[in-house]
Amino acid sequence: MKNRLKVARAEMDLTQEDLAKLIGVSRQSINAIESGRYVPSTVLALKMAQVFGKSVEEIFFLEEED
Amino acid sequence: MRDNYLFPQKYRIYGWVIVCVAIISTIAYSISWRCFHWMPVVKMPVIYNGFETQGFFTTALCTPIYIIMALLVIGLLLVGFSREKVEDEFVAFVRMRSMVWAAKVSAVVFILTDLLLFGIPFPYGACSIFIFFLFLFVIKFRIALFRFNKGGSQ
Repeated sequence: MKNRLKVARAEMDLTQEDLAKLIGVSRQSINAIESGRYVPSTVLALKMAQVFGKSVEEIFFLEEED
Repeated sequence: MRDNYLFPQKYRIYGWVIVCVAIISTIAYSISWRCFHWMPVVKMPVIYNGFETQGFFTTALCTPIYIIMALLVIGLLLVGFSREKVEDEFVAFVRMRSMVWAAKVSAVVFILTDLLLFGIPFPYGACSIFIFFLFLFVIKFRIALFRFNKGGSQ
């Protein structure tokens, strides 16, 4: 699964630390999600979408092999 | 996220202290045995003592290694299963992955011990496997978290 988290974050001028604080997780979690090493839960994905004011599908999307 | 069954964060430092005490005790015990051939023994109440057919609910003379092993288990449990400063689903994921890895390696070591170790060393090897598992788990978990902590922030 790919994501546009970094782009969405840049659009809102948020650092990983800022986003982590807004959704109540560690910066490492944001880093791992952004780099594709960790797929977040539905709850976390929804929280992120809420922060960016977008739908989950606009931030996370499936790849062909998924 | 809910963090079921985890100890409070401050227990981790207690765990490290207990682990250090256990390791220092092991070194002191080894030195005393190797250099002075002196082994302290403690009389402990036990449920069953197979030596000298003493039977159930009696006492036994235990070497400190049994107490040290118990201390190591308690210390490593506290270190491995205490909350992180920010305990989230990613930390839980790393913890679970480290545990699975440690269980697999421990299983291989146990099978090798079971098949290749006979005689007096076998019970010690078999008893130590849980401590070995906890050690592996704690080391893997701490290294994984350290690596993610070092990960770049943009």
